[in-house]
Amino acid sequence: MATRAASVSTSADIAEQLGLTTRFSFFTGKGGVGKTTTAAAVAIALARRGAPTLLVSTDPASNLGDLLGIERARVPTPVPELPALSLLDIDPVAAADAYRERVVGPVRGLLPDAAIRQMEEQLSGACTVEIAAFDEFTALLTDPALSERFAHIVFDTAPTGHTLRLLALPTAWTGFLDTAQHGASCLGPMAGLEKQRERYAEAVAALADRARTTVVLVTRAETSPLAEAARASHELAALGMRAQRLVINAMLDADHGDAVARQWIARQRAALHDMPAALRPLPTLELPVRAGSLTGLAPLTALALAPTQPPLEDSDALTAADASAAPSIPELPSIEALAAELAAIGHGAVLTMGKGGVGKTRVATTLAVALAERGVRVHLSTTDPAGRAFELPLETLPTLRVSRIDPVVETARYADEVLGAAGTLSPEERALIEEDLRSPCTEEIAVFKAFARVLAEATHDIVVLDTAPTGHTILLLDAAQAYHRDVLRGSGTMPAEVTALLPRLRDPSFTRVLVVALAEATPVAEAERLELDLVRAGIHPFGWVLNSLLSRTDTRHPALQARAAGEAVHVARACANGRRVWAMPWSAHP
Amino acid sequence: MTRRALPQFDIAPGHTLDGEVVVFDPAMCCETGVCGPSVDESLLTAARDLRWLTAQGATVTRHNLGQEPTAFVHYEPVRTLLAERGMDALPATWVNGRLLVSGRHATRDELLAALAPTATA
Repeated sequence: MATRAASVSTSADIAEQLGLTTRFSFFTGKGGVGKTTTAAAVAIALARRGAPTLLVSTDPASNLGDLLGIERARVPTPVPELPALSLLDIDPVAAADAYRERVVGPVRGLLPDAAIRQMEEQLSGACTVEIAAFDEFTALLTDPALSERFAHIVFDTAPTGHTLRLLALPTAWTGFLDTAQHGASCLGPMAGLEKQRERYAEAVAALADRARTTVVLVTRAETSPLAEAARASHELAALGMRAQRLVINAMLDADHGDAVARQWIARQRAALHDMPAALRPLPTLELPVRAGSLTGLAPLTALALAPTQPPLEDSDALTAADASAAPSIPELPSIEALAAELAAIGHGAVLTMGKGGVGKTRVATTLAVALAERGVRVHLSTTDPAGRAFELPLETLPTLRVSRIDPVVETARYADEVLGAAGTLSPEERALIEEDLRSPCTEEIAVFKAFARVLAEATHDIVVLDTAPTGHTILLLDAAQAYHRDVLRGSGTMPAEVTALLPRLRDPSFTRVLVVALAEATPVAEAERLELDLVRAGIHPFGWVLNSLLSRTDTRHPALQARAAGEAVHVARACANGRRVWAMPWSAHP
Repeated sequence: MTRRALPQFDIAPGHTLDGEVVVFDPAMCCETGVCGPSVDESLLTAARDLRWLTAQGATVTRHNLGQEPTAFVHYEPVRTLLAERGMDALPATWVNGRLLVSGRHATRDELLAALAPTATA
């Protein structure tokens, strides 16, 4: 401990190392990369210099409040041990609920229940959650009282480019909300915002001002999070948010002779070697691997003040302490056990679902191979561009067939179809439809059509797909199906595969959905939300697969062992309510 | 799919369309149909037809249940229609206070017939 204290006094804090001086900072990155922890460390560093700082957390999985000694902070609340720092919790799902209620509430009881349900579903998508969260940010970005009170406001998330572009399109406000005249768009969720457009414009201007706003892209030295960071960097820069920094988390520099650590290091080296060009010019801070969650203000402060110092160099003592204190991790069945169970059934569809980066493709591929090794005829269909599925020794697995759904190709084909059908458009109309086409829903729909084609053949074989529509998409398709059936009789716009698919997706003897998650706070919370969304659409997941468990490896590396011990609490949460859970060990190929 | 060109001279020169068209749409995530299982050309066609009517002098208002629910509340005829026929009654079009079609969008011919062209003064 003495060594650490000495080096703290000589090294720059995390905000300084990031060159972060602006009033606003936004942290963006995939779930599980450490956004909230990094944002908290930056806020602590700023506050410890004496600058009044507000940390805004939108992470429903975060226990920052617990760590900092505050119950859910609905208004900016000072941290008792560090009064220059205040915390504000925004629950994006609750914000979306409140937002939906603002739109629907005034007409509840005045319109038929069916109409109310239709409105509620329209306002239940991912877009609404994003828009509602941005609505909350707007208040923070434009409130003069907050400007006086705080020198810095640190957000542990960032609005997406899709949201910002929609807001930036003047047509979004003038042409469509005023008259609702043309073929609009993702604007349904924006209906509740019309009265605030000036404040909105102000917020968007603050974001694009590099003297006021910095974006911190948080990632890990892995291919998929780096690609996501590059995408966000490009997208936000195009919107004027050009003051950007890069944080690469969970770096390991010594393997201590441990095989898992050696693979970890090899993987991070390869990923950094192939780092997207867009990220290379950015000021970059690499942070060493830490135990899964930092418990208490002290370790967060250590990260704030000495960010690049490995936290576990006093490792023997720490490991011994952790091992005795760590809750034991429940024994979970393996993917092979799952394959044996499915092989006995012999047909149907298995869909792996989860947020990007949790390893849907790895789970699907491992499962398909295990089934094929049992002699079951399997069709593995993947959306992964050049993934492991195409490196399989197919000649030794005669009952395995692999095909690919390319989301880029499917989305482009769909976009052409849409714009072709739209015919002559004014430039404003075209811009808005094109923005619709960039929404996450569009890719989902485009992939869904390809997905429906593949699934149509699952009667005899087992089809394994590493993608699946969300509950929201299914409910929208349901609505669209009813609409098409009743309204557009015989027009043939509804592909037959889609019509056949919806009831089969809800048939538990045909479709088995596996929710894939990592044993970390945010990914588990995201998986829970995904499950709720599916249940809402009448689909009950077969179970969960926890991927990349360090606790299922034999690592002896102290930092990795500490992380492994930290998985227990998340595994326990995944196993709650009698949920069936299978486990896959960490691998260098996620 | 074939598409008719926008009619440039469907109404006689020197005439204008005089009247009020009100359309009530169901709550669609996106009116372009982008979010549906296929492109919904009927929605795009309806949007263009209504815009063309406006250019010819008609007063056109369009309300989406998801965006402007209060417009539904304030228009008694649409409330009655929904109570009687349910959500399948949408979209519905009124011309000069008279229900023209429900359960689909009106075609341009139907709209033109309902809005008899009048000679400009």
